[in-house]
Amino acid sequence: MADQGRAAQRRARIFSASVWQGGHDEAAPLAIGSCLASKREHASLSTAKHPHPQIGSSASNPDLKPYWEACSNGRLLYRRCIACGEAHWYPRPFCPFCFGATEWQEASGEGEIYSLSVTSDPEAPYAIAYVRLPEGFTMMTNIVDANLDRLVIGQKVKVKFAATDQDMSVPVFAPLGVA
Amino acid sequence: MSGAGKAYIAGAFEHPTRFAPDKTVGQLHAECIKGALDDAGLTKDDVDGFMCTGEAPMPLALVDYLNIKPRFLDTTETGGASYVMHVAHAVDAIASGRCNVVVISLAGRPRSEGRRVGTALRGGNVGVPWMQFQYPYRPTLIGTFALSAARHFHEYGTTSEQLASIKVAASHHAKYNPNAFLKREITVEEVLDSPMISSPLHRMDCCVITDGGGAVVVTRPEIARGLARPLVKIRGYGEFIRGRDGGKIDLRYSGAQESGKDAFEMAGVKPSDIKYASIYDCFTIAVLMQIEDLGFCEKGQGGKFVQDGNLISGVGKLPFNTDGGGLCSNHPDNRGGMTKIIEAVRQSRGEAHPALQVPDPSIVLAQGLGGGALSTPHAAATLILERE
Repeated sequence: MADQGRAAQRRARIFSASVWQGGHDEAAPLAIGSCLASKREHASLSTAKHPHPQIGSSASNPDLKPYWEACSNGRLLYRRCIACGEAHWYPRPFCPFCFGATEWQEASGEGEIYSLSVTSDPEAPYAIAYVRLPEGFTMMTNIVDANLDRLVIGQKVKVKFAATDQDMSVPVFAPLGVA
Repeated sequence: MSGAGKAYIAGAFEHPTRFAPDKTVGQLHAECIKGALDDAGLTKDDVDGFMCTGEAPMPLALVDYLNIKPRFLDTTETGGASYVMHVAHAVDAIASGRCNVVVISLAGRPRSEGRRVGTALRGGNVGVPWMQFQYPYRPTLIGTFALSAARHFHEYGTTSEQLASIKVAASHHAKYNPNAFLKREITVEEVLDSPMISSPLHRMDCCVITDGGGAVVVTRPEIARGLARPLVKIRGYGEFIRGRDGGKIDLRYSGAQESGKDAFEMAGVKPSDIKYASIYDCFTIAVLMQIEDLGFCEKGQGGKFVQDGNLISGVGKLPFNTDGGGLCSNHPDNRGGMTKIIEAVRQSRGEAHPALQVPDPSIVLAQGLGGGALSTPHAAATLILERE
């Protein structure tokens, strides 16, 4: 596992060097272009290939402990204001609309793509997106289990949880039905 | 009581370099500051206010390195917007009597240092509240601008060709700039043929990565009028931090809507009064959206507005970035705000390239954006200058 990580980092560094020297030069290697040509189908659940050791740790954000526990159990939690009733994202212990107290609620897991961008990458392209949830907020995420070329804004998606290298889960979204 | 008219930009200097592996950042700062002071006809002993950002690399260390003695220091850090905000802050400081001569300086060496500016993952500091909900998804800087572009295409039918025409316009200007990093004319086809980095943005939708910097001198009217340079009065300014509104995300607008509103109101002018505009141009989509948000056209009409040479000096209705901008000339330290101010000052003084000088630069505008991307929390700052 560790070797794969190091190999990935080496590839990333080589890729970065080739992109770097490219800039706007005519002689720029088309490293990015050739990347896009491959691996378009069924992008991997490649969130957190570059994990931060403290993401998900209670030490850094104790208020988020229930969130990360729920993720590991396949549940997406968010917070809603007890005073004004508004939901918000990302979860805070206070309401970003009225500064009232907030409480955990569970999301249905449904969503709709509000915007997306397929980012080139030496290993495999991946899709970053903002997904709008019916609970009343929009969150940043990845779209997975999809033919990236066929994703569209407005597409309905459903949450799933991607395992990371560090035994954590993060919520990502996959298209409903056949991708 | 607004600061309108209470200070002037008396000196401006853009470092000619675009690649400086043999100079330190501190040295680049010093060269820019000396250049700006020489331009103004002032000396370092006249300086009693100083502004830079934390990448200076450390404001107090830079002050010591330069051996200047500021009674007023501002290190507001909002990426490329910082310097546009600094000018406004300098006016307020001068108007309130805190200081008389403010130097604002930027320098950096992303090219020499090999920084993967647009495509590297950023952040990872879990002390930043949003980090745990953003970092795992590997958004790159260009990706987060691309999210705004994708939404704009969806909402308004904006096209890649329209975005490309912004780069084309900048290149028409850059070809007159001997210091520009990218000096040749670019075509729409070339932009569309360049690799797609994060859809829908291609490599050519991006600004250049350059070393260098620049500095300006802001001073009170009595001092400015005693100097030999044309008088460039600061007529209006505004700034705004646009966050993600607790998750109620609306990617149609940037912070320029609010910063522009304040600046135009203070200046008492309308977009139609602007003879030249420096528009922050890290990516083509940023230019298009800021043009809409400043009111040069209706929201959603930006694609039409930037087509057909409308941004080209001598051809279109809104001459923009006549130095070639960040898109083609210079985007030092990945912070384009200083060069936006400097070209606006050149135009105001009548000192832009003769082929691109607007005939009557009575009122000009400089727009900064930074500290984040269009689709993530960012700062916007607007400056309106008047030639006296």
